[in-house]
Amino acid sequence: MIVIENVDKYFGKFKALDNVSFEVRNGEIVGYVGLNGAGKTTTIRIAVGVLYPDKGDVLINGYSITREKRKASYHVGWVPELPIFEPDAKALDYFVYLAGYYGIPAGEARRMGRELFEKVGIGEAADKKLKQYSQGMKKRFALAVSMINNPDNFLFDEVLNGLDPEGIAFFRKLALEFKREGRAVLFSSHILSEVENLADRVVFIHKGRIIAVHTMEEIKSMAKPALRIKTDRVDEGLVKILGEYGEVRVKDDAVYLINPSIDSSSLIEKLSQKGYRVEEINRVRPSLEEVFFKIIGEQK
Amino acid sequence: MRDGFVRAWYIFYYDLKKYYLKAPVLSWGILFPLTIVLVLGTGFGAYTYSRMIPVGFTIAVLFASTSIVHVAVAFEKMSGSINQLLFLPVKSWEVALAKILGGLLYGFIGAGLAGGIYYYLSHGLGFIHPLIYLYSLTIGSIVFSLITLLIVFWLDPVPAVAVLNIVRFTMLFLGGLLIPKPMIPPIIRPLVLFFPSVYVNDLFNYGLYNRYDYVDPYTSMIILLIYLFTLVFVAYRIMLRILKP
Repeated sequence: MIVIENVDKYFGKFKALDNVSFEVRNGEIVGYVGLNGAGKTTTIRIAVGVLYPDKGDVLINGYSITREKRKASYHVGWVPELPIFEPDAKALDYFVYLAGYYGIPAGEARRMGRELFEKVGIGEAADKKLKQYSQGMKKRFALAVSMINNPDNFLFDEVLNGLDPEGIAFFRKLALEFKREGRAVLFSSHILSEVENLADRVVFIHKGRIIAVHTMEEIKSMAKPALRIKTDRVDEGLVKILGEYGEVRVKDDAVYLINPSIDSSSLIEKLSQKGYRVEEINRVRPSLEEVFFKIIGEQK
Repeated sequence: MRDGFVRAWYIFYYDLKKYYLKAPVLSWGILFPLTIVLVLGTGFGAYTYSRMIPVGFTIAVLFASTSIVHVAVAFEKMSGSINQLLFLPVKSWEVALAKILGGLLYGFIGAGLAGGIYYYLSHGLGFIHPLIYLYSLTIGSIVFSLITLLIVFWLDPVPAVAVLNIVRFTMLFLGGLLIPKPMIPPIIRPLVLFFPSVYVNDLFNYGLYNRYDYVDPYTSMIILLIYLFTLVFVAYRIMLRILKP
């Protein structure tokens, strides 16, 4: 379990985090979302003990990351956005070196390394130098490293950035596996559709402050239903007609009618009478993106 | 506590493999001070052994210990791999101790090489107070390492080099080393006493020749200890506060 308590962090005079508090329970995946520079990475770096907070604390399985750093570190795995390791070191050798900090003897670490490398999909690159690794491979390596001590808590910082679809699917599967095993997973991401797919709860941060924490059910209920309509043409006349039945948004080649006061079949009939041919109409699922921008918009 | 020292040793050992033959360490930590040592050595005709040899030792220790600590931290800050180190189940003081161990080892290497050269040039090298000499070498290396640690954690790697060189070269000229005491204007002499190199040099002087320029050896020993504890405290606070993403 990860508990972040009243954390403040300054960089010079700039207050990067302002009284940030939330928790990630065992067996739960929590998405951490916010605009660039909102404070996601700073929070995660404080939570894993790489940065020191100016106020507040982070408890990992009850151990303070500031006062009981070593005990807390034993229980947490971290995959940074841009994993940086010794470029000239061979992956497996470096893994063995890092495992030494957890008191794992070299022989056992080597065997464990090969197993974990297979699990994360870099088994064949175990003896390559890390500078030969792609960004995706480095993330997989970082993941293997984060599992050295089989921790109960994981923090993934923008882990999906720069990954191919296979890599994204792999991380998704792994996060769900961790959840099933009762571990706590916090992950920040710009890919809101992935957060929506994975998270049980979402924490919203804006300008260093937590502005909302919602379960996915709450988010779905907050987002207004909408109709996605594709017609033979999109013009001002169409927007005007639809405007009588709700808020209209044009996106790509479709028009969205938010919170419609008319049902689909009646709308098709109305549009046909005005000379528009409806090619496709469907009810769309409310998205996290919509809620995200609504919450951020309220803050602005 | 014991575990902490074991971890510090582990980091130190890995640093040893990674950084101890890097070009900046060899050039600033070994070649430059040895050049000065040789220049001083070949000037024996103009100056006495007892004047030049302690200065040569101090310069060798100063540059050797500061260079390795600078490289061992700056390279990791530049590459970002220090974050991985800080993430591991280690404490900040263990990381700092590992880096200081590097400075200590290099201080001994620098002194050993300088000693070898002077032994050859002066056909022998005697120690009147070997324990005092050893004290100066050990505490001096640690104090110089701590000063470097403070600078390199506080500043970004490139400005850190500039500041470190300003500190080292100021010590060279105003820290009781290259400019002999009689040539320093009396008005500047109190400033000289601010630099730890003065006390390290006086202790080397006492350890080798039973003489000193500025302060008696026991006062020098105490002042160096005060430097050490103050720097430990300040460097630790800076490590905690200054580490940035």
